[in-house]
Amino acid sequence: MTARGALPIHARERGLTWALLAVWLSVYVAFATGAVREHLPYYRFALSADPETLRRHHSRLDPQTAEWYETLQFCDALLPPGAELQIVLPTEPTYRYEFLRDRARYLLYPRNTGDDRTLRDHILVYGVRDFETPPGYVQVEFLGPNRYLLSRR
Amino acid sequence: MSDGMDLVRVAAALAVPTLAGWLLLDACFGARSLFGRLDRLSLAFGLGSGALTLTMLLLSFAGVHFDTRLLATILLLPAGIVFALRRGRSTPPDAPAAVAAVAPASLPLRVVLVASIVVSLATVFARTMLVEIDHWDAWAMWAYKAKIFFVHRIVPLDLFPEFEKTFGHWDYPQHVPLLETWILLFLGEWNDQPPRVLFPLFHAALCVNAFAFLRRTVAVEPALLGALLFATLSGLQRWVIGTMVEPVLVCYFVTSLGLLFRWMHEKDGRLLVLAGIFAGLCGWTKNDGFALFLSLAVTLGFYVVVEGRSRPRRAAAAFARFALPGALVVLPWSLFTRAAGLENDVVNASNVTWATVWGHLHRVGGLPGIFLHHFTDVGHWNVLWPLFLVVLVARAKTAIRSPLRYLLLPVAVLIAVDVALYVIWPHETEEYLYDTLQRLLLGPASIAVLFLVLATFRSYSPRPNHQFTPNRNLAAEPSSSIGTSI
Repeated sequence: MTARGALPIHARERGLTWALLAVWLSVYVAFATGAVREHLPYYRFALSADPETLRRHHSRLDPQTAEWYETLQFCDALLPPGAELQIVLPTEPTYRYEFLRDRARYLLYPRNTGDDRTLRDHILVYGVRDFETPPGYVQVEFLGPNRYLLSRR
Repeated sequence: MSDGMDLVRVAAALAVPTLAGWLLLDACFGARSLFGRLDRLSLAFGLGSGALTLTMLLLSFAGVHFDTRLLATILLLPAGIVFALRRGRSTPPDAPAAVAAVAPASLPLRVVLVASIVVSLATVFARTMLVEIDHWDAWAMWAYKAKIFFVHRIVPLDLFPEFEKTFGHWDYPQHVPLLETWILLFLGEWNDQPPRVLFPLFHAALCVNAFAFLRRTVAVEPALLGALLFATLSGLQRWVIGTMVEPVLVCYFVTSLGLLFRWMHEKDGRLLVLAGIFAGLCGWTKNDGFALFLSLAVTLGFYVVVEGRSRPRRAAAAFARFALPGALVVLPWSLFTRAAGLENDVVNASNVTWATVWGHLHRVGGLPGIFLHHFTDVGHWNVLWPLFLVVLVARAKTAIRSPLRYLLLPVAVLIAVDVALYVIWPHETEEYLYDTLQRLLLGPASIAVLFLVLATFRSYSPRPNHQFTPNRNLAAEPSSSIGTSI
């Protein structure tokens, strides 16, 4: 540090710093407290949640995707190591399709890489009515209406 | 984090690159004579992180899988040896400057400033770890890549053509995912929560580096104010909490800019090399970082042309001293993306054409309104932009004639890049205008913070030959172990 380090702040600068600080912090606190208040219920939940619980919470986009995390965890537990999974999802609305697809890819890698066009050893059908089972596949697990797992014979 | 052992593992994971950075700074740059302890720690964290992830990338090129002991050895052993060898020959550190006793009138101000910074950083840390914001890109792109690298224990370069078929911007640099992978390696299992700690740490490092830079030219209290502005800028905090790469980018950018600005005054070549490295780390963090690198290079180029015109060879050497280290940082990944044919979805040969530019030029007309919308978004930027404008107008003459113009120049470059990107943007323009642009404005906003403090609290007395002498006595002692200055 140079000799500069020994110079004191002038009274005028001190006053200016106080003024800027007051203005800035007033605005910041006003917005920050609003944001914190809005998230209070979430903080209460998150403080006692483990990483698994938080992941489950953030894997739910809306009521239609409430069972997505459990479904993926089920597949992850059931499928043998090295198995690959294709996922069939409703393509509309786009934002939900992309969320489900990317979330599955994130949570299940390397079992699912997001390329859900190529036929794999196993197919998870989620929320798709009247899906035509490809030749050579059988249903191995029924998870609920329009939710089931197919495997190659 | 799930238990105390995880905490210990994460701390160990962070200690390795920080220690490596510390040794590198001391061994190669004689950092003790350049920086205080806190700055050195903060710089070491940033520098060591870069050294770590570049090493991981190079190992991946060589087909060597990640092993924490191997990586720690590669990082610490050479730096430790050079550190030990130079220790006997190194110049003793500068005698610490006489620190004036804090004037009683300043004490409450300092207490409030420091307390505000600490409380703000602590709350951001807590909100980050509680996953208040689970940003899509943060997990679908960045953390996803970290998981891939952890699963394979290497960057699986041969799989990138497959990955490119899905969402993920696979041409993006891998600095942050590799940092997250490093923490996962220490944990020994995939758990996406502990790596979140990286982002508030980079946010804190940004505040420290900004303070250290400002402290060299203004009093402690205004310098703390500058750090506070960074700590409490909501538009930055949301990306910290959302674990996006922007806080890492801004940290490296502000660090580089501060070192560059400091070099302009002190003319110590070591500062220039470090500035170049940190500018390169911007490019290694995200493609947007190339624009930040460019803005700094243009600024330095302008500086050496204007100030160094009587010594063109030395001016060119100074520019090379900045540009080459930065280029070396970004080179490995840039070469790989080119070789692998990984294309950016915006800046690519098929999109950047005269036809695109001509066809989209009409978009520019709507931009002033968009910028105004962003600049008046108080929830995001607080009163930063109105204050910046007021100070800019009030100190316009000084801003243009003094070294402060070298802070404004990168702002102009970055805004120009933002406009150019908008013109060629191939996707929904709403996405660019209300999401992407908000992040791109973090660069200019960072400069606005520094400008605000320097222009408000420092009296510049520019002279025609631009050998600026501040009104306050700033007797720097340039010393160099790399080379002399201009």
